[in-house]
Amino acid sequence: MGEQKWRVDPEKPRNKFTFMSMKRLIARLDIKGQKVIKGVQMEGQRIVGDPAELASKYYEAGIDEIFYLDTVASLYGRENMTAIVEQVAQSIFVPLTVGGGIRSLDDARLMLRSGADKVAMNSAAVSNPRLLQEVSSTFGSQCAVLSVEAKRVENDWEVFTNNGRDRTGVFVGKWIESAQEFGVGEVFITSIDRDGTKRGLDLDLKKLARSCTDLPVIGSGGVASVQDFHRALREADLDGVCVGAALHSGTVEIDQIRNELAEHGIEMRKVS
Amino acid sequence: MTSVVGVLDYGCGNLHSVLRACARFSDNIEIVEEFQNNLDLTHVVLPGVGSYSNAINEIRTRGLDQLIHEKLNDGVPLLGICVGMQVLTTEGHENCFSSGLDLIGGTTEMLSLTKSDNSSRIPNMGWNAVMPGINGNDNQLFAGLESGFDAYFAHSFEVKPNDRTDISASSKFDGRDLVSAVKRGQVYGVQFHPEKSGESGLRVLKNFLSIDVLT
Repeated sequence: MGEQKWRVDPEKPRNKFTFMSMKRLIARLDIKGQKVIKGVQMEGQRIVGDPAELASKYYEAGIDEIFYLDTVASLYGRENMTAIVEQVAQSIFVPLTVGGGIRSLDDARLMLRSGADKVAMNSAAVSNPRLLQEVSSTFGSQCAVLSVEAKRVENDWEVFTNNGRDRTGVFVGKWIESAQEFGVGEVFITSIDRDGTKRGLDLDLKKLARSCTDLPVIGSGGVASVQDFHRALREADLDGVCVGAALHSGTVEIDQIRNELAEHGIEMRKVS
Repeated sequence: MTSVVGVLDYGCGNLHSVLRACARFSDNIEIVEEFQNNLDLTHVVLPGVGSYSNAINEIRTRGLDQLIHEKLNDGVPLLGICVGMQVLTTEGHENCFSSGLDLIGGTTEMLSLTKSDNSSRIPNMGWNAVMPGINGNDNQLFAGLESGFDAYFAHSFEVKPNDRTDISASSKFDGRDLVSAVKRGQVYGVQFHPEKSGESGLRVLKNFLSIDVLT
């Protein structure tokens, strides 16, 4: 990696007397059937590996959190894959967020009982925002994650559902603001245009999400380098970054990301 | 004496994460859903996610408060996790007022952001350093862990003990101290999730499960 292509922000030196919350590195596992898959812009998916094996590998390597997304659950209305969640949760002792096909309070309960710590809701939340309220009031807001999958439409970002297939006519800014009212505890924002492309995060979208809410915001879609993490965490002030394709392909490694970010003054979890 | 770990199930939360983590260190784990008379336990774990009022209502409805009091009388150590720690206090100030188990005198209150450092959020979600051993309240729970080990937090409320000597670890939030663990006698509580805090968290659970019953 050698040379550093970006400069250290002189205004935010790493100083043990300045408290900054730690930023999170999250691994994204897109699941289809029994396998982890990865496509580009949510299409043309190919098999990457086994969910439990990959989760366990990333846990051992020091990932802070795992985001599991069942990519077909909401499309076909198929039953949730609790068996896979159970398997994934078996050997990892960091938080696990599960999304895809969470349509009711019972779906959420089932996922939590299978080993999820948080549930991410997108499609069902758009058609029935009260679901967000039900989940957050029953299980706590720390458990209810709003997943927003957005595509650039003219000068704005539109929310899409069903794994990037359906337009909703709902726009990102308004949607995040109203979801916060419904009690969600975290916003997970994915750029469909960048998903799987390794072209870098869409910083404008992330900044927009950041400006709409005080909640923790996690960015996803297009991460290709440590610099992408740095920009997302510093320029867009996100609380965490989620990485899929670049991690699966070995373009970035977890300890490398962690170490380089720490060198650049970003508070990271110390993994022993 | 072989350990028998009772994990209290009151219908809210991530019971199975706690079970899986405890199963690393004990072969005898009982899921306890309601009060039972002749239950032989060496450790009681009270997990928790969700709200204070939901949790305490469910605990009472199932008679688990009685079980907790009985086991503590027998000298059995208790570990409350997250909301499980919050309900140990005298009362919770949520949307409404709820009375708690009163094992740790004090209140549970909503987190507030005062001196915005621009990086703290509510809920407080993510990894944070834990500093044990303040107030001389050093305990076995943190044996073998460095001061400043990182743990995973996910909460919107915090515990404020009346007696500061009940505080056994603190963390930083919004530029100030946050109570991240309490201890009073055999009553232990952690605000973070040891079952979700990687190897350090597992060590906390392991330490708890090696605490002896007081005779």
